[in-house]
Amino acid sequence: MSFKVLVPIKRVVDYAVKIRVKGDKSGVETNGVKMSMNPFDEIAVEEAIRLKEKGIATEVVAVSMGPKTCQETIRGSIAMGADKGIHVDGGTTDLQPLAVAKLLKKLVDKEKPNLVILGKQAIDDDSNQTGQMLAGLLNWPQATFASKVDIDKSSPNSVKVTREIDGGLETLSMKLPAIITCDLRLNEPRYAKLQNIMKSKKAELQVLTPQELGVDTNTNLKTISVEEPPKRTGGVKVDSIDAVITSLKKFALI
Amino acid sequence: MFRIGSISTSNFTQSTLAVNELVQSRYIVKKLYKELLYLGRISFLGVDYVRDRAKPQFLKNANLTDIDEINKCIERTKYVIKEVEAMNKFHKYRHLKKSYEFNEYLDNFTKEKFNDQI
Repeated sequence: MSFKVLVPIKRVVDYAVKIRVKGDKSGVETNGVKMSMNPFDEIAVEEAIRLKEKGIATEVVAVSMGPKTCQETIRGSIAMGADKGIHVDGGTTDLQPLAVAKLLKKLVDKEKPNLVILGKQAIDDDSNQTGQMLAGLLNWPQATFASKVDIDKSSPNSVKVTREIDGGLETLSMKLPAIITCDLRLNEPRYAKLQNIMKSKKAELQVLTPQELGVDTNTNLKTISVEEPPKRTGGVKVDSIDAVITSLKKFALI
Repeated sequence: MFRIGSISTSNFTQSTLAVNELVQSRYIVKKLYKELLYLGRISFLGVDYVRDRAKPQFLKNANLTDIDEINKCIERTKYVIKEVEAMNKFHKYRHLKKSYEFNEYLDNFTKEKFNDQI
């Protein structure tokens, strides 16, 4: 029996890089900036590979959308242990979560996976929408913010997911096919071995375009301006208690 | 140059065995160095930081000929690689936790404030 897991991944500015805004305030500077796989997607890839290692999943397919550089990220996940990569070449157009969800729906119809595992959100736009929208479009059950995924090997047609919610933990049982989005504590992503990274460079990727999939990626959203947070102003040294009190009074703190 | 495959089994004496081991350890060391640099490239430390610290130490031990001592260095490098990996994971986890999870201290602070108002 085949059990396919689809893992959509996103290429984002590396988490350790200090973000700079472009001069014309149209967005974030990405030229010459270190890019890597979204950390939450890394967790998703790791979970899919673990399912494969447990003998539950038979195939892990990594998908990424965007410009050609995304292929690097897909290869990164193949080096980690994914079997196949699909790249949807969106060119330079900015893909919004809804467009991504629509594209993913088409891919799901084509690939017929049993499970879709996504990161809960990307660390660049922090939308936290794609998984939920995809579940809505497909009319599949969804478990967001998963901190534990449990599939019984003897009956792999349902999944138990523990979610992190405000008051504690919530456990859901869902029929497959289903959508899972990962929270931070699901697992610890592994590092790809250097050898596998070299191998993954030769892996063949399937390249599709939104037109081929019949999806209109036009967006109804317009970014008006992107601003940096206000700079912190330095503190002031005071030399007497009276000065402390007067300045506290000045800001109406006492 | 000695190649592992080119030494025939007939003159497989003690000395060729030792040379063999040395040649093999050379490959292992090179591989470990590459691995360390790769880790530097993907981690928050940056490749320059790792290279600046690793290269002098590798060069310092480049002329070792005692196989036991070489193995000791190899073990140490493997340990350092694990440390760098763990540190990188920890750094990433902490960064994400800081930016995406509700801060416990702030949580308690707002609670206290709220209770005072009641």
